[in-house]
Amino acid sequence: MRIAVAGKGGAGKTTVAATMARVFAERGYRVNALDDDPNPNLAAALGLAPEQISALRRVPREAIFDELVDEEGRASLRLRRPFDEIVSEYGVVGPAGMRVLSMTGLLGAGKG
Amino acid sequence: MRGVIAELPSSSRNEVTILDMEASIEHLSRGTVRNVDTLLVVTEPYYRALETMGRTVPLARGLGLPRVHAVANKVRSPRDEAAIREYSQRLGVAVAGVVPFDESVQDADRENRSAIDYRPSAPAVRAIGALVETLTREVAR
Repeated sequence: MRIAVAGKGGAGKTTVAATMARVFAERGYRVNALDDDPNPNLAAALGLAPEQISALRRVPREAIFDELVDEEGRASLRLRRPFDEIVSEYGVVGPAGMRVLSMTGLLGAGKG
Repeated sequence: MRGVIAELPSSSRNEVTILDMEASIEHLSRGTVRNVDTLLVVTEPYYRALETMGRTVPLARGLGLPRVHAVANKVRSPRDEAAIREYSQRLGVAVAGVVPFDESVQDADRENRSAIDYRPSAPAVRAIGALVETLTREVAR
């Protein structure tokens, strides 16, 4: 299941996203929580400890994706490394084993 | 720029990937969000938040997202809920969750704690739990 949470700034999307992540984790789901906001605060809303939050490093997109361009000129991205490896390098493991990553532009904003 | 989301894990039934997005999806290039199963648009019962939802929903539809739902947040009264339901109905989106206004969310934030750790039984936390229930049922169908 992949769930994106959007909404006007201040509407509470981070609280909704973080609480959902925690509830899914409590119910035994394997959870990946990805912050795509340029001003990330998902980690704090998830209840990560301050030292974990400071260990969270913004994932440089170029470092983990290969860009492929097809014959029609459409670009697509491929993960260059296993997701788990990316999490252990840039992310942190939060409550109930959830994997937390901070990564802007994940949904393609800013690039054609 | 396609396929980013497709590369993220979520294949198995008990794996969930949750993306906290930028404030709106208006500046997304076409096709990038396509691999998300569900887009939740969180809205408050105020004009500007509703208006943002009003712009986001048609865009998400245009991208072909299978499920786009509203989540009513900071609802203080039946009138608040009715305003969001009415607006959502006009847009043709279901309201997947109604989260009441809850001071403990602000209190948690002030103490830099998660709402669920601060007060697991808080009305807002329970409502988001019910939202998870709704989404889980929907996927199981």
